[in-house]
Amino acid sequence: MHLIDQLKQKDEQALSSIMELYGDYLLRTAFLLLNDHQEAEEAVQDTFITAYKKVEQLDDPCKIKSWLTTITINHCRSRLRKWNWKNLIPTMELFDRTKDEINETHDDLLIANDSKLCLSKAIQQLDYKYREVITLYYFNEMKITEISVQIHVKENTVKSRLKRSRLLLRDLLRKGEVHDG
Amino acid sequence: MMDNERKNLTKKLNQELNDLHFSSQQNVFDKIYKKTWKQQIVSLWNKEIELSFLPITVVTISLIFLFFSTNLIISDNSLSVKKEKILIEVGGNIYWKDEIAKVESQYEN
Repeated sequence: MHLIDQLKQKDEQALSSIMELYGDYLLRTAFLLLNDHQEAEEAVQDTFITAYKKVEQLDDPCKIKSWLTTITINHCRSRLRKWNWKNLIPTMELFDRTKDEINETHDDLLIANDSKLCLSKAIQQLDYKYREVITLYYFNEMKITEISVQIHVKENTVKSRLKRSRLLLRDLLRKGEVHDG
Repeated sequence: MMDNERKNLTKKLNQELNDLHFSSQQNVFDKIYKKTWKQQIVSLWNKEIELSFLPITVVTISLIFLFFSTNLIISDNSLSVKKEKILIEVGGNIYWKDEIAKVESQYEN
């Protein structure tokens, strides 16, 4: 019997197997989005609880990974809405850039490959809307169309956010302004 | 070029986050099968506990011994108090000697 069918029958072992299969992947996604390990753990816990309760809504078992990712993203967003105290920490003013800069190529990001700087930390310093698209694009390896569906924005918006976030990342990595936490 | 960049960045991210592992499986089970307070009370009431025979026996015997020995001491004390009191006969009636002494001292004063 398929794992999802077993989960629909509320089988504990099936849930355990699904956590084993996707737990790390979802935790890493949540960690990039929330920039807090504990919050990420809790968001993933909530993801599995939601998945267990609403598994009937999953029509195609092959889409389990993207379905779980969607739930994780929703939980991360909901946590960020509730989670205000972190916002008290001053954020970097990274977004006052000119149009010319936006038109620069994304290839500059290649410096990240050679750089000893932490790419994940740099991503976590971006504003949430940029962090989200760049995480889904680079870490979750989603297509622009998939990201558009996931975060309920137009494809062009996704593209422009990606461009913007690449530039911001490039700057962060070049300047070495990557801070822990 | 773009695909290459994407692959490289994905690889780098995976390397950086490789040490992160989801470790809250038990919490998920606990939250899913969260008991109501009634179920918690029933499970507490029906909880099986294991007690080792020897320590329990030793403690019980010690408590029984302590209880009886304390009772004996108390009763011994009351007896000794009674023993200290002496009965005397005055005018055909029997009184406690110390009580008579108290009355006599009152009259003397």
